[in-house]
Amino acid sequence: MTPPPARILVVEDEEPIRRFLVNTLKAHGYVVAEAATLQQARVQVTADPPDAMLLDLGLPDGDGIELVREVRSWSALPIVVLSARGQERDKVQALDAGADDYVTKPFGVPELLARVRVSLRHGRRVEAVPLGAMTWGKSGAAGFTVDLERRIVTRHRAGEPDAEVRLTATESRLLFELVRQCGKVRLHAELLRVVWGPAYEHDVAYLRVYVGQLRRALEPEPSRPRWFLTEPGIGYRLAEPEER
Amino acid sequence: MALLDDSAQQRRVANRRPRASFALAVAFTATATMAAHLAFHPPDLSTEAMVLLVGVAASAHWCGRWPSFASALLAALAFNFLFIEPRFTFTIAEPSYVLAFTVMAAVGLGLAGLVAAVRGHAAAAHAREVDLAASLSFTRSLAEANEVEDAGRIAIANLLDVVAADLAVFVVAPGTQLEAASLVASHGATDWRAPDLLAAARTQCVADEALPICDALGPPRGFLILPMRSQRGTEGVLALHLREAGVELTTHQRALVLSFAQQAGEALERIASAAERVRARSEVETERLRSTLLASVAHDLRTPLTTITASASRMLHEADSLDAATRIELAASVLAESNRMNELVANLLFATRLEAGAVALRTQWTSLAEVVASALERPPLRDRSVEVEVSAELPLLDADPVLLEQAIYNLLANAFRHTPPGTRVAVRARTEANQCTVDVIDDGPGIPEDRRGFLFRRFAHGSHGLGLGLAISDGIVRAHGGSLQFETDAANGACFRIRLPLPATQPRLPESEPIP
Repeated sequence: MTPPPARILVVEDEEPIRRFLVNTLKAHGYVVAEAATLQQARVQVTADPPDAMLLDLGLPDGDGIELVREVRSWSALPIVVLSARGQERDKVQALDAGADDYVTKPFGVPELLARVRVSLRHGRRVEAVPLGAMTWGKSGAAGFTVDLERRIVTRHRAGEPDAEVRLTATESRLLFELVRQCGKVRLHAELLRVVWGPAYEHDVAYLRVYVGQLRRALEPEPSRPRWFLTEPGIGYRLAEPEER
Repeated sequence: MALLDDSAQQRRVANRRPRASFALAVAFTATATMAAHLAFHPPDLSTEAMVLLVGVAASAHWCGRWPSFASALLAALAFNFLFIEPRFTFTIAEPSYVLAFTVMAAVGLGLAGLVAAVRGHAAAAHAREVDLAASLSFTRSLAEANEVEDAGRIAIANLLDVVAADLAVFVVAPGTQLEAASLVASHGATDWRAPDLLAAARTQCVADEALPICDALGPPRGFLILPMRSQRGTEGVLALHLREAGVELTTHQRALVLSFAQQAGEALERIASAAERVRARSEVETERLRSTLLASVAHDLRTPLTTITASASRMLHEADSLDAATRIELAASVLAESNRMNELVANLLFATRLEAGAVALRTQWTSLAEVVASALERPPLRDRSVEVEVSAELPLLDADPVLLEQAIYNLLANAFRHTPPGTRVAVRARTEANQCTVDVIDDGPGIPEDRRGFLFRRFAHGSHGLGLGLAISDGIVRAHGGSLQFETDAANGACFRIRLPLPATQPRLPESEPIP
């Protein structure tokens, strides 16, 4: 028995973009509702809460961040924000206000669908604790596997036997925290708070160093990382695993 | 400063109290009378008369006009009383003595008047000389003022040599009312904002353009307001506050203060029109830049738009006849050209931020390796092969990662755009001394020498929007205190080198931990 399709509310004032989003999401099996203003969105989201919301920040009748705050006061429904490059401050504000992720305009379809998929997954299980092992990298190619239950990290390299990767306590905490919500952007301050503690919220340098160490331990080509992605001025994102 | 001391002395002489002057004149006369008495030798009285007249002359020279007249009268009476028969009475017996007394009195009075007048003329000439010198020195120092604040300070410093008062200079901005004048310089403890000086100045001075000086109506009393006028109108007001009750300006002080106000008005006009010229020139420059930018942007947007329009219209109109491979090729070119437009728009946004001169760098501890990696993640670089030699061990930079990524992205995108497909492109970073260098290198055809000089000139328009991207990179790097240069010694191809200063200290980091 397949679960009923997820319902997504698209809030976007630019008609061509809204139509594109609606059509694309429908084509991929979602049920879509749409709104062009903050007011319409407010009505729809309260009258008939969707499973997730795609929200443009610059709406004619107000700032999308307001809606994020309002919705967060009563619901954990996933919110993905649409925003442009160069608006990093807006993105951080939206994420701080409770948005789950963002898509940078202009965007490609694969990126859009990945964000929607990840946000829906985290929305269903707020504390997303993946079961079993997850693998980054295609089987037979370079990659790594994280087993959250057994707390074991294994590295795969073509032509080499799999080897267990020994990580320090902090490296492990950071890796497991990223894995716990993989696919989702994580703000610097949030990661620092969870891994090091509230007093370290502004020590971005810690993250720079430790993410670098994880890349060297796990990425086949650390200078062009495939999974431990930097979101400049915002935070980090561990890509979704190829296998789970 | 000798000049100031001189004029101070002048003021002291003029201000000597009249009673003292009379006393001195009496003393001179008494001394002369004693001397004459000692020389008494009748019947010829000419020696006595002469000696007495010396006393009158001394009084005339040192004591001023009225004391010297008094001295002349006293001398005449003493002459009569002491020397003319019958002695020790004020009566005159012989007719010849009447003549002697009359001549003595007339000569005494005449002498007193003459000497006092000469002295008065000399003093006036000297005062004029002092005023002229003060006025010249004021003009000279005003000519060096380039800011209204300087002019205000100079005016106050010079006025303080003339009057003992609290002073303030208000300047009216062009096109505004006198009430909106701003205080540019002041002296003394007066709170200039407390009395409603400017409103009073407007009602009294501006309403009547001919009226040069006025006492402010509004309380408290003791304020004087002088408009500083120029050819084009009232440039500001000079306010004086005579703090001692009942003190008023002398005619001479008034004249000098008025002339200073006049000169200050002209100086203010000169300063304002110089500033106006500078502003006009920079506006022209900005306008020129803007139109060059617009022309460049229009061109750079139209090129990808042409491809997008053509590809999309083929897909639409020839939908039935296109094979799958062509459709994919057309869609791919739409995507590629859209990316290019996106890049251009991103650069335009950064351009406006840089142009506005207020690039707010959002700096944080930044890893160069990460910045390069995220630049390489952006389309179309994502699908290109780039040699990356950026060690993760490099020190962290205190930089704006978003802007720095744009700077490096532009150089890389530029390298791909201007080289044939398959050309080797590399990015290398290293540290040397107190700086960090990032090289973006390609093995392409290089840049012709005649174009190298224009590379970073803002919007120097090459084909494919070369100017904008490089100018943005240059602006970003410079905002970080670094430099971007085209390295001419590159063996072949092109090498752009970013130099960034390393922070003086590295951030505190946790101790390294053991691996369990």
